[in-house]
Amino acid sequence: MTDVLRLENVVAGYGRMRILKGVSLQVSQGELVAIIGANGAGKTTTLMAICGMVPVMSGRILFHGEDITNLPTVDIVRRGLTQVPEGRRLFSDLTVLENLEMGAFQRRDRSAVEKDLEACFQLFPVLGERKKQLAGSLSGGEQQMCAMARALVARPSVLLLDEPSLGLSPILVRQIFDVIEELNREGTTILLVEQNALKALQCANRGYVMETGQVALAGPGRDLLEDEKVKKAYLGYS
Amino acid sequence: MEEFVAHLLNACTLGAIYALIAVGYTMVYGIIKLINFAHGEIYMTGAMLAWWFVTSLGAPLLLATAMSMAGCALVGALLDRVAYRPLRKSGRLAALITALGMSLSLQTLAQLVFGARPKAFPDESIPPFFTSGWKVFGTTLYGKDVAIWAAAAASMAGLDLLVRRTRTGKAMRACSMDPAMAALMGIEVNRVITLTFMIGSSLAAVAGVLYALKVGGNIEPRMGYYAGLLAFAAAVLGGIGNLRGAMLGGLLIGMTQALFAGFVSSQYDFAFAFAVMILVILVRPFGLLGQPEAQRA
Repeated sequence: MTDVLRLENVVAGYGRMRILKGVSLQVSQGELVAIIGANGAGKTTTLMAICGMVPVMSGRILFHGEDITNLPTVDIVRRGLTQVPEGRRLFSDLTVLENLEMGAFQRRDRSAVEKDLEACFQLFPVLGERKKQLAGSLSGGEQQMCAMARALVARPSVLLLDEPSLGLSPILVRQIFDVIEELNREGTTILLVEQNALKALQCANRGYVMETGQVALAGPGRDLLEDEKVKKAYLGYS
Repeated sequence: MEEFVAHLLNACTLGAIYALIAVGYTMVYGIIKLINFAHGEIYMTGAMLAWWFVTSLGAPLLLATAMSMAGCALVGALLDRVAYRPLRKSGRLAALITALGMSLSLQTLAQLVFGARPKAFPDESIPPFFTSGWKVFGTTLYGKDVAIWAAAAASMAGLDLLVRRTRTGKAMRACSMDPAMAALMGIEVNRVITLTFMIGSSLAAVAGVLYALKVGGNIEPRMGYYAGLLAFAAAVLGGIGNLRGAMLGGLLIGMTQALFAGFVSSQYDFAFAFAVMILVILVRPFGLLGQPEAQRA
């Protein structure tokens, strides 16, 4: 198996504050990998460090075998890493369609972009119906779909998802996870950060459990679901 | 009646000029949340450069204006690169004080290079259309006013179209809403900021030339000071960060000032224009077309 994305002992943070204290993980081609953990464990910071948004102090990040540590964000995105950040972060005063166009900003193949937009509207019909509407006027679930569609039209080779289920109703959470699994089946490699540990581990090939800036546990999703410690701390069994 | 129409025509012209300056303030504020106090000096530089191109190189007025637009775009881009970009991660106050410093520096520089004596475009450089006039309601409508309205309207329509319809314009709006997210989409935020400075600066150059044509001269290093302040007030009145708001605010402030100067007192016209701005802000703190930031969830 070839690693698409590989973190080696990554230490990262803001100023003198270290949030990641030596994180190592890897994601292989076509995998769906989940990172779970409590608030403040460093899950979001891990994704931000991968995208060059948080400075890495030591360690390396490799993408398709190339060192992308501390490269400018734009260069990293152009290589095929796209993130759907926590809280969707849509451009609220742009329309749905314009948001998607921003997702495809760094692509030059106009006709292929048009096709991908159509494909997105197939995958998320509600976005097609509302493409002229301002993104800020969408409901929470629609916004999450819009954020994912925006990332997909960038044609990423790895998709980073940060808390896609946050703040959504149970039905919408299911829908979002259905989409994630479908995308993965179609071949998109996904690194998923989630609070909803049960859902995340059920659909992930492998999982990492983060605690205070480090990887505490790693293994196949099913194994982690059975792990006594994980059950107690993250799945709500006592 | 004649007097009213005459003042109204003047008011529209002044308003159009302020609107052209105000869009520069608002665009830069929208994207980096900086009040670029040196913007008034870019406007001055625009008039100054055009005058220099006409008198020293013998360029026709239109070409001189185009060259001055390019020159000011360059000055604006440099200003950002040299003065503001290094401070992007520092507090807003540091950048604000730098902007004040740049305003004074550009004023002084212009005085050193061009001298403090007020200058005017030579009569022979001004197209005959500008001095032709028609009788309207007993007063004279001059070609220069019509030309100024046309130039301002065309520039602003072009700008509006650019920002709303083009890929670059959409990227500009995306950057002003969430620069970090724009970077995550592969948008080069710094390049977009440079472009914003260039566009705003070239429109300020147009405004500088138009103003000099309107008043028949007065091109001097300090001309950007009051114009800049009033255009800033206009941007705030319209809702800072909002493009159409700046256009509307510019028109309103210019008209308020000109009508007050015409009918009441030309000594307190600035004060009155500011008073109107303050009153509007008291009732609508985010300006006429602005939105409270908290509304954007």
